[in-house]
Amino acid sequence: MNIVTLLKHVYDENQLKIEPSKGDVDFAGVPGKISTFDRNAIEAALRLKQQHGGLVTALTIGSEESIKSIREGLAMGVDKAILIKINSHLQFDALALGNIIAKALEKIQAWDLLLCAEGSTDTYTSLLPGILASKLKLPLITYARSLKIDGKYLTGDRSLERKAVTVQVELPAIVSVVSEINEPRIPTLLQILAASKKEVLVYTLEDLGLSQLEQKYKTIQLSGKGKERKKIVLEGSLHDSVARLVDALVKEGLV
Amino acid sequence: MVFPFKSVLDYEIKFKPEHEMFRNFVKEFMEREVAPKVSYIEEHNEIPKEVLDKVAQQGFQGISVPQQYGGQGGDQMSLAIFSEETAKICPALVTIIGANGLFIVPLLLYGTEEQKIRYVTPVAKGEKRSAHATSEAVAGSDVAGIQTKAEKIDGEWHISGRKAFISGGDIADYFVVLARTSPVQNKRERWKGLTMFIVERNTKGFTIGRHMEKMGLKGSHIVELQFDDVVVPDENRVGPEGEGFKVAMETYDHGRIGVAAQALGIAQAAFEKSLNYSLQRTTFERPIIQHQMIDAYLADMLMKLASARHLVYWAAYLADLGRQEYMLAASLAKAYATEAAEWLAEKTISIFGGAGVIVETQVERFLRDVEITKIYEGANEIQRLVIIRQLLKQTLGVDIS
Repeated sequence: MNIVTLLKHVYDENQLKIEPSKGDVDFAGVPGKISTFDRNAIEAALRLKQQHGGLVTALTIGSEESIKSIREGLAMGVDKAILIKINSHLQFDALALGNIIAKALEKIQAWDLLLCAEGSTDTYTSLLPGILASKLKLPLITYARSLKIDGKYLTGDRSLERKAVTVQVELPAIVSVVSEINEPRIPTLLQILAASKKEVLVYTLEDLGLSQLEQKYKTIQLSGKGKERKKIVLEGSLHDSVARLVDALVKEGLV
Repeated sequence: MVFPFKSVLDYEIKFKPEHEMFRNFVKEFMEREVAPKVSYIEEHNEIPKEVLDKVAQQGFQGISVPQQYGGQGGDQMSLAIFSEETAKICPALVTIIGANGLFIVPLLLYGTEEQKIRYVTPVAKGEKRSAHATSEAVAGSDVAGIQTKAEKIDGEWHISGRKAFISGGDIADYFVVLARTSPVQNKRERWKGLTMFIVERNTKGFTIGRHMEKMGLKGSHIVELQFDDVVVPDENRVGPEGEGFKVAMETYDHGRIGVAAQALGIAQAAFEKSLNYSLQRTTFERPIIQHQMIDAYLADMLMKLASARHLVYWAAYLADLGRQEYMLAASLAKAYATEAAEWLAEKTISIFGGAGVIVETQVERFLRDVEITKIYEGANEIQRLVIIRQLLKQTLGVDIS
């Protein structure tokens, strides 16, 4: 069972600064980090590896900076990593990224399962799994909250808004997972230190035969959106306050 | 020369990317596994066993232990990072882990290969727990003044006496115990004639005595130990006979940075809490951060915090380089960081006002937790002696000890 996980190095959303009047997002000096839910995809891959053996490879498109996040994946237990070096992933749309990844997957000799997160914590388009499935003509399970492999079949519970659906596909397949699927492991110092010795293969777009990439859409502006809180404070006896709290919640359409 | 060092390069501190990654993961672990239990720990004076087990499984008992003895193969920098990040959430946990370090270090420095395999490995792996027993009711800083005795009869050691203030003694499986093995010959050489031994918990005649209630570090316990003719084989001797004082002192040199980092973590938590509160709390119709007196407190807090951080990691870096000057740096860091942390803890209460002394606010805890850091692992008064002695030794080659 050889598994590929997609790993993205993103801006740490907790450290983004937003200019209050215009809403401009200031990316300068904001450190990068692994896209939060990618750790769930890695954890899912590692658990499947524990049961079925094989290798887990992380695939990343990004700048040299991405090595930082790749090392986190390697510390968790990913066996090796592939970095496709570009200047900034923000300049590519999901379709363009899909093209690169599809090409890169051809470079990986044999794989049975591609695992990724439901979305990345920067652009959060959630488009990539679908694009890849259509390009590679492979079955797709999105929003999986549990996975089970039985021979050449993969069964997954999909976590949808109002219901859960269980589906079965034949491997090789593509799966996106939700964060409820697991709690990502925290590597030990020993694993962190060992990660620096693991292999990271670096490719350029030229190596993949992709010198020109057609952009289908362009990001014109990125801006932050503020939200005013209502800051309602209920005073008085507990009994009355609870009743008024319920009334207020009903009025707001929240319950 | 940048007195008392040779050049400004001696003040350099270098971190590796692995250090930052380890810091983030320790932080995540503590926020996930320990933070939700802090109120329980404070109220019940007990860290739940499942938390201690998870901490042990994560390898935290063996951070700076070589891999061949079941450890994580980390450096002093990693140990300092662990102490700081853990102390931000639960300083008591640092003490519990630190107790294991005080057992492991003398064995790594002076133990036989058999001792390392038999005792260090299970502790570093988190399968067993351990503690260090030097202090007595009559002797803390005055290590040479201990009254516990050991006598060699037919090749075996018979230990008798009492120990006090032993951190982690309630849960430890293994102990290192310092005892006097030959009487004081002359006053100038009272440090001679002490020897260190390994004692296992279930040894006949060895009893764990009463818990001693203390003001802070709830969840970490100190106990008395009683030795009534406890017999251990000569294989349990750590280091040469009569050299136990040296073994103990070298152990404390190592532990000092950990305590300094523990205080740093408390100081960092106090500062973050103070800053947050100052932005939110309104008096006289404005956030209190707009009051100059509060700003002065906050600015001074940050000055002390930044200074403490540089001293702590500088000492750790020098230790990792194997430079003898780390002893001077470690004493500077220990005395400064613990006193800075006390100052920050006290000013945090001032910023919180009345709310600061309410237990629920979890602010008065900083002050209760920080006090012992000024005392254990070499009281700050002793650190000051070490500072001047090391300074003279390092710069003039003069030994006044």
